Amino acid sequence: MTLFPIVTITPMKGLLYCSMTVVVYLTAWQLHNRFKYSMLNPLLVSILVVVGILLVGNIPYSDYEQGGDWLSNLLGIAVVALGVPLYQQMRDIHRELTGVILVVFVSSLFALVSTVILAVLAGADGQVALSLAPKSVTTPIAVLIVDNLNGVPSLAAIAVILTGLMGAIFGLPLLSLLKITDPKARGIAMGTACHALGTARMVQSSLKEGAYSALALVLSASISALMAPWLVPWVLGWLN
Amino acid sequence: MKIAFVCQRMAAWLSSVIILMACLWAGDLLSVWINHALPGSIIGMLLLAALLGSGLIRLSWVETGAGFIIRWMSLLFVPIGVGVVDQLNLLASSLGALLLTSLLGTVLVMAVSGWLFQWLERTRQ
Repeated sequence: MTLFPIVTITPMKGLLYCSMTVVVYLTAWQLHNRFKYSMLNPLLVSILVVVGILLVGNIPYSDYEQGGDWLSNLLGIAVVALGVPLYQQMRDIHRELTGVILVVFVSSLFALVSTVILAVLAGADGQVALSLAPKSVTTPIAVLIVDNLNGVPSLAAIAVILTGLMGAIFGLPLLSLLKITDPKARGIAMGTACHALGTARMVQSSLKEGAYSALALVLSASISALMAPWLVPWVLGWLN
Repeated sequence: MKIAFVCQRMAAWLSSVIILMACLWAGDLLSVWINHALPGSIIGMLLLAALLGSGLIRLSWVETGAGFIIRWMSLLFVPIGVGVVDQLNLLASSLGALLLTSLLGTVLVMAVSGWLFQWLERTRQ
């Protein structure tokens, strides 16, 4: 009696919320293609519409999560798939690898330091500031870094997501505004600043930019994991 | 003729899915081995690029599935974005710092990395 409803209803809910998300996204995608207006970003619109549906329908997030997890679990495969554009640009990348590593190294250190300084300027205490520090790094690595620094991992996850959304929604117009026009530079800037979320947007607009973004994502994750454990406490100590 | 085409497409899909999942699985294994210094998916990405580069795997075996999932990758982030709403208390507790770092901070990092690489490209030519 108790087991039966769990077995049948849980997958049904999962299927329902998963397909709802897909339908919302496809509609947002159609709207975006119809009107070509950058504020109609499919990701932003979908998130807002789904949140609206949950609020109006009084659906608890834990219910939605069952379907949402179906999609989130595919992310691992999507990240692996980025190996294809990476391979296609390998000859180009190989020639400039030193330059790319150098730029991502400097930018990753800058990202860690500037985030800590900005957080402190906004009135955050030490623990919050160090939890935000790896905001430009992909979630699993950011959570690990913050865990090692005795910060708040869930706060780190939020900072990572907000940063990624920022890149996915405003990243492309922002790069043009900053006069970053070289496809390689655009990819590197997006991958370093906005990890997988920014890369997902980039790879939709151009595979070449996407390949450099994927490369920068890998490099900045490794560099930040290596440098954050001593750099972040050092900056915090210097600010106090 | 038509059946041959359908079979070919199905084989392309099947081989893509198998290769992508195998790379993720191998990446996850390696990730445990190196104490999670990099997530399994990122190791899987590097592994796939290396296998393609070495010629052990042909591009045509993976490009169908890989192209599809890359094109729709943003969709996979919708539930994660919705999840932020579940953490409104945490978000509100450090709203100022979160907004300043994710908005202004991101602009700064993009500007530094993009300009630096463009400057490097220009000086090299």
